[in-house]
Amino acid sequence: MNSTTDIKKLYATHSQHLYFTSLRIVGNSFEAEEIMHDTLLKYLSQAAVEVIEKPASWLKSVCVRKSLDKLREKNRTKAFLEEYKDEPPATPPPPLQYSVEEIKKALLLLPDNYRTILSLHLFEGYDYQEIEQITGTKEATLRSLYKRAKEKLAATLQNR
Amino acid sequence: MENLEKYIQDNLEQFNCGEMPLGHQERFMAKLQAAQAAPERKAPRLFSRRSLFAATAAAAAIVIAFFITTGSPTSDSDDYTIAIHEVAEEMYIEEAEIMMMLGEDDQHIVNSVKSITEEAIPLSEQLPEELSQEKRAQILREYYKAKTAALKNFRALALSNEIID
Repeated sequence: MNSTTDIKKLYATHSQHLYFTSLRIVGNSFEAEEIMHDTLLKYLSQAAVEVIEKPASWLKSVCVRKSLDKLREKNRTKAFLEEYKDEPPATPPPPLQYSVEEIKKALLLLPDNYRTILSLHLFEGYDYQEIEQITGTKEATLRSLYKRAKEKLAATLQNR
Repeated sequence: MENLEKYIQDNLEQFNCGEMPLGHQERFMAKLQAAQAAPERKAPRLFSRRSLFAATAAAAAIVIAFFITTGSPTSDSDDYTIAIHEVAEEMYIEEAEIMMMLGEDDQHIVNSVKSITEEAIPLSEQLPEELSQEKRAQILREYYKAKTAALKNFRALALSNEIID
């Protein structure tokens, strides 16, 4: 990574994916851009002293962790399970017609905890054990939370 | 519900595409430039560890910071850009090699090297535009060559005096 051209190429390859990954978790465009930038800067700094064999995986992992840190900073994580406990089970909505853009918008309307579990499990493909390691939330809780998050997303789309 | 899940999984790529905030890349490049300046300010603390890892990292950072700043000249680059790149590159590499050999007196070496290489305002930004590009390129070549020669002399002296391990 030794020229502006290489850096721009790296940016072009990964910035969009990182931005939307972070956006799904933090739910804020400004913060998502900051995290995407910080992730790429960290990569450039790290790549100067060691070989990173799987850049895409490395970037995704750092981006997800930074995004979760941002949530914690804002004391949202504290409310993570409390919000979940208080919420009554959602009623399964009828079959829906939806588009990618509608789902993107609906995701941003979800509570942080639902958006986070959907981002990590459904969009980023982490299994529950990995998410437990990242968030510290127990696997059984994550499974229930994921189910409720899906229901909430469907209900949000239904009410759009 | 399962349809929704399947729909998302089938269209994952589309969820990672879309409009991004205006000017995001420009803001990144600005942060990058700021970041490349930061290691120089932190250098004394980093170098004082005297570990091989730190020395290697510092040396690499110097070279990388240089390339990030200037980029590599392309076939479209003018003589002025090429002149800055060629002569400054040689100086930065010389600096990096000295940093690689940090020994017991690392802070002394760092301070000495920085007194040669540091520029509060790069000369390239100080040269009046009234001068032709050719003239400015010539001045820059002489300027950085002198600095590189000074670094080489410093390294030779340091080695002869066993300042560097």
